[in-house]
Amino acid sequence: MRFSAQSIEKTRFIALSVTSLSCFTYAALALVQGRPDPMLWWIPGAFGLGAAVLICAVALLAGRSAAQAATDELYKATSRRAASLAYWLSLALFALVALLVAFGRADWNTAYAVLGTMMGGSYLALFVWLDWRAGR
Amino acid sequence: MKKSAQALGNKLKEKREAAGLTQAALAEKAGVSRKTINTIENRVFTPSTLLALTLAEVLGVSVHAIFYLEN
Repeated sequence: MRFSAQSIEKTRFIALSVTSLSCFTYAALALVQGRPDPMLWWIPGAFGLGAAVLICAVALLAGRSAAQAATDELYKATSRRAASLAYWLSLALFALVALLVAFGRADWNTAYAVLGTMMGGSYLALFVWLDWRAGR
Repeated sequence: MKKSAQALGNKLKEKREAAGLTQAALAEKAGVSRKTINTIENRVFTPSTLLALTLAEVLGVSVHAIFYLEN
């Protein structure tokens, strides 16, 4: 099987989508169940590491020029835009989670779990969304 | 200096087709992804000066033949 820059882009898109989904699922379950460990705590992290390994493996198989094409200036611009939006979203999440704690909807441990997974997941989801929008 | 509300237009698709290249072929020659070429052609993404010069060189035309300022 021959891998190209497009293979790397598709792998990255799918891997990051799945990882962000695992983060959001963890956060939603933590909120619903009112506990910081609604599933095995390392699952979102394992998805993240798995995504990194998978993307790197496909990039290695595709070769240096394909990897450079897949991380060209459009990718860098998309990543920067996702990071800047995720920054503001994360600030909003701090306020939102503080309100949940203030109104007794979540304890501090659950709030940390929600915040941690949502902050990571928001950057990934924003990157995937912007990447998808650019490619339409 | 006068404030500019001009946008960057381009004839990349026209020049690419004139050169007999697909988006993928141009992308490979320029060292970028096909999506990048597609987004430039659709005016979703504005390329850097470096990429604009690279595209012009690959297509064998001047940068001004591809990119222009729109009112």
